[in-house]
Amino acid sequence: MDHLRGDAHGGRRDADAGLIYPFTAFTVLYCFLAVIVAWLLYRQIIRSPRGSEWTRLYAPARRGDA
Amino acid sequence: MSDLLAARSQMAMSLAFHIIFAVVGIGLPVLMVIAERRWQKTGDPIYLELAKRWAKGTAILFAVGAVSGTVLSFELGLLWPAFMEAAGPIIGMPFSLEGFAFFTEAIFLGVYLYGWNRITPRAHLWAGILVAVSGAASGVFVVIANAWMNAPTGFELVNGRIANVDPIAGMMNPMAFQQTLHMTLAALAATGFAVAGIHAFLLLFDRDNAFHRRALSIALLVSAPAALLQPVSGDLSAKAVARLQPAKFAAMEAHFRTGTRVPLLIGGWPDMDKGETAYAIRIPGGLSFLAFGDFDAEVKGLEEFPRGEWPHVPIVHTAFQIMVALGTYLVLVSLWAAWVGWRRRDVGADRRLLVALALATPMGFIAIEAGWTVTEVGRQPWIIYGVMRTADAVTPMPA
Repeated sequence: MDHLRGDAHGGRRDADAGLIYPFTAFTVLYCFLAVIVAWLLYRQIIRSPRGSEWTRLYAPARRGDA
Repeated sequence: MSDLLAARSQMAMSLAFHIIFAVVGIGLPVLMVIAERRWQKTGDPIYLELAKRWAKGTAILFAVGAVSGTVLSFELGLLWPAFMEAAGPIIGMPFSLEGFAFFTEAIFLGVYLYGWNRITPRAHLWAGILVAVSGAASGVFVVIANAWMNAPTGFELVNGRIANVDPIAGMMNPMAFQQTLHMTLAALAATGFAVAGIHAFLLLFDRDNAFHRRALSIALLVSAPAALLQPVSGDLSAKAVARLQPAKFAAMEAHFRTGTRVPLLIGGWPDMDKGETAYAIRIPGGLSFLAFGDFDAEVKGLEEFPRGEWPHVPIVHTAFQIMVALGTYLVLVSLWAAWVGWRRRDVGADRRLLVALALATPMGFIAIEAGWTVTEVGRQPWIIYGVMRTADAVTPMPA
């Protein structure tokens, strides 16, 4: 590791900007994943049940409370 | 953009993404277990549907969280090789325990998802409880590793290198309790309010929907107590930071000059060159009291530290203010919901409360992102506080 460390202190890393590429690639990947996850969650979880057996299951609010 | 900044940005972005999934992995199993328990007690099929949906949600988020967590573990080694070389012998311990908790969670999530008709109801409920417990445990272990970066213990510095390592003492570091408590409560509050907010929003248009009403009641049962306890836990954290990382504390509070009877600043924009904070509301003696329990206590300002050891004050101060403001909103909404519930009114029929809850949907998560910004940016320029600088830890390899 010592040869690496010597290099790290050499100031070269500030001049190179190679790490911008993985940063950009991962940013794009995570944005894509975020969209997929949001869509999946909406589809699978949030949307209230639509099946025929569910449409009858209602619990009326106690009106006049609000 | 320099490689150091690119590496920090990539790490920040990966953590910001992963934390959402980690947090839901802690919170959602709790909701799922409560729903199943209520189904077992009442026989109401809506609770069963909720337990199944939340289990499915846990599974989706768990899968993505496992991937983003794996990416992070590679990034730790690839982007910060000098850090891992030095810190690995210590934080390896909590990370390996995290792995243990993670596999436990995966196994029992599998049992939960596929065991509905294959094991007894009691065993199934226990599988769910183990998912919730091991989810919380994995969060705790990872946060312990981070707490060590803030308050490193359990080793000796020999010629500037970490030696004579005691990993258990490293895990027992003085920030561990405060940070893990704050994060676990944050996970429960954020997940609970996100779920409550979504169902509150849908109830605004479909007021009699039993599905949303049951979901809202369970979500509030988890999120409101967590949000109400969070200021106490935050106070413990802030007092520990004031003691152990005074530069971070000064940056959080935009406090430049050492003094006694120091005011608490609300809002404001810190100017690092002038060493002043403009446009802030000042509460006399407030900061002295919050940090040390005494209105006349001395609080160290940033002037005590070399300029090269200051974190970026506007980012840390602003992120801290955002976290506190959102946390305060969640406390107020929790109190409101508790008051409505206590008066035996119908929480799901109070339209103004539903609007307030719907607005709270993203707030817990934004507060968590802001809080981690405070923790991480506030520790700069150090990657291991007082031991190793971030600039010395970054990889020398250009992509």
